[in-house]
Amino acid sequence: MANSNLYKGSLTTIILKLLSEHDKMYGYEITQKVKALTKGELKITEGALYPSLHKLEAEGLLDVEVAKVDNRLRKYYKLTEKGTTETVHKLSELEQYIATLQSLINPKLSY
Amino acid sequence: MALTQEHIENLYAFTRKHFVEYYDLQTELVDHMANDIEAIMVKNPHSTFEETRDASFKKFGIFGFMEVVEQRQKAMSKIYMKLLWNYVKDWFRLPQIILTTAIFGILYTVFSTEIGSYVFIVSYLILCLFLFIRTISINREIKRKRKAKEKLWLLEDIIYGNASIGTLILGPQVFQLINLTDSFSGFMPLICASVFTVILIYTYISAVILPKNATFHLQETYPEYAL
Repeated sequence: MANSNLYKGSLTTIILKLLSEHDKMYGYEITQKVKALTKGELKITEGALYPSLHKLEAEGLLDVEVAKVDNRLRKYYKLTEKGTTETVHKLSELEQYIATLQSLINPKLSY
Repeated sequence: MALTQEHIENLYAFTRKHFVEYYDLQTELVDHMANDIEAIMVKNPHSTFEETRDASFKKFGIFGFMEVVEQRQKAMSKIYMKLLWNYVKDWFRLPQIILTTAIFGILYTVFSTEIGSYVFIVSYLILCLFLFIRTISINREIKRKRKAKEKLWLLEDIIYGNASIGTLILGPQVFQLINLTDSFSGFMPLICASVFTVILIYTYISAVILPKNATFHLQETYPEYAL
């Protein structure tokens, strides 16, 4: 498993990105999706996922709906209009950060 | 293997036992654990429900649900502040702004008279008394809900909590204000009328309007409230 400290700051971007690709998702589904996409390299812990989801909901970036599935209630999250705009912004920020790191790790030396 | 209704009830009791009081958060954690337990049981079909439940709980770390609960409280306080702010913004529109100006005008006129300082103290005491009575009725309602084991909602608790907090803040100030009676001149009537108008509006919004509209805001915030 990758060092979890390295992705901590990117957790909200990961959640927003996943939700932008799906109509709606629930908490457990998000953890499993990340695990599958990264082939188990990245595991979102429950203790980090729900606080992030609740924070995004309070900021008005996510909307919630509840449905009865089997014999229990399931809470789904989906992006609001504000959330969709913020996803684009956050992704561009992250890409910029990755590019900066790349230039530090593999500097292209010119003579 | 899909969990039975009995298992789900057990998980609700489990979350309550681990200090998750509020139904909205209980529901989310129960579904999460139920999904995880079902997945574990597919891999280890011989393990019992209790074993898999405890294994699933361990994934929340050594503090269990504590971090999730704390962060949920922070997030919900943010939602409450937004609600409060929206009401305050509404208050400074027509026709309420005329009412606000009228209240301020009347208070300033009365506070500027010879008996202004006494009127101020009496008005303040009446407000404190109103808040005290309101706090008692709110606390009774909360106690009744807890005793009846009704579903508890975090936002409702925050709304009721903030409605009664005024008593704790304003009450002890009475003794400080009594000292003001000797120096109630100059800008004092103006300052007191301004501050008292703000306190009146805040009290009316937080202790009357918000608790009155609590059900509407709970339905708006929690889709499961109506289920």
